Amino acid sequence: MTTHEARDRRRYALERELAPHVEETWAEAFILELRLRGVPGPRIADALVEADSHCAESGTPASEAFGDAVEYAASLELPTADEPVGQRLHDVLPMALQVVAVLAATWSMVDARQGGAVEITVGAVVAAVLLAGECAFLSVLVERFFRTVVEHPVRTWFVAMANMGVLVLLMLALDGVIAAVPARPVLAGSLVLMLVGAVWQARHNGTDVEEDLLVAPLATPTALQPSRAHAMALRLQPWFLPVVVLVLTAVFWVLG
Amino acid sequence: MSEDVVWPGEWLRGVLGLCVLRALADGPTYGYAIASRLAAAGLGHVKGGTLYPLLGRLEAAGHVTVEWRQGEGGPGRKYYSLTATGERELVSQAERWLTFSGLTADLVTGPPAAAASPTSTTAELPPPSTTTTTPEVPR
Repeated sequence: MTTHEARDRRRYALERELAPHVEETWAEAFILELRLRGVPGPRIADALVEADSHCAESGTPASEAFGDAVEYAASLELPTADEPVGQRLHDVLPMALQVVAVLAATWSMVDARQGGAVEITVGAVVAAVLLAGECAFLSVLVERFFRTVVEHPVRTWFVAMANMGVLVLLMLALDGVIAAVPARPVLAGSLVLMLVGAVWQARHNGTDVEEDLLVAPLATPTALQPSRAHAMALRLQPWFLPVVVLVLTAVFWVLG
Repeated sequence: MSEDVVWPGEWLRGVLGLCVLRALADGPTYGYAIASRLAAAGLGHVKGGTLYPLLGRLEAAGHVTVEWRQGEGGPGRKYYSLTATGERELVSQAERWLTFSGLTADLVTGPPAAAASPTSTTAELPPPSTTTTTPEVPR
């Protein structure tokens, strides 16, 4: 097998399994469009398998029988999983907690080593509030956000960088000190929060995977399991950042 | 009439919903079978991209229910069955369609509105057929 074929085999594994009679690129575009619209996984699989069944019996390719994949996906007007705003904000909390904890940990690391105090500036508070607001906003409009990232990746990148630049500028400019807090407790507290956030995220990831897989309509129960690699990746993902931060803290403490 | 005839898209769009309901009236069936039935009836080839969104709308409106069945050695098929609401919709649409198409036929094949002059050329139109307004629709 050439490297091309091996790579395509990995990339289109799902499409080939669900819809062997449909062109892989068509199936991939179809699934992506419905994912961007927030259609639940089983519903996507239902529509794709029906298209596959039609192509198998008619002997025509999907592009001929159904036209453009994105347009066909849109024309189906499938129901979307409209989670309430509260649910979305709740889902993003573990990650938000980890981000705040990591920032606090890195900020307090230097002063903690020397046993000093961490200065909380106006700029830091303003930037933190803005960042929290942006995360909440994006988590509520997550489909729109993903579509923008997919369709305009370069533009999104520039906006993200500019945003970060503004936040850093704010932090540097508004340097009036509100309070000074002993650094060691802050460091210890933020490391604990980071671990709490990781555990919370790990439990979230466990349930999310099962709920929204592309499950074929007549699939047997064994076929419902996500691939072992996928499940493993999801279980380990929340721990990457905490482990990195802990290692850095330890190294810094010893060598600093 | 050959199965390859191509009717104007506007005409087909107008009757497709009704024809699909009628095809479903004979018993639960699946997308490709419906398309074949319509083609065999002389309406031409209905694309999947047109048919399945329509079936989806029928399901959303409560006119059909769906059930997946294992295919014979092939991929599974999604079967559509007409509901009681769907049957009522079929009867009502069929009645109205027959009235509508009867009126259209009468207009198209009827005599010119103004008195015809000896030099005017009126196209040879088919004679008006006698249409009944009570349709024979299976229940």
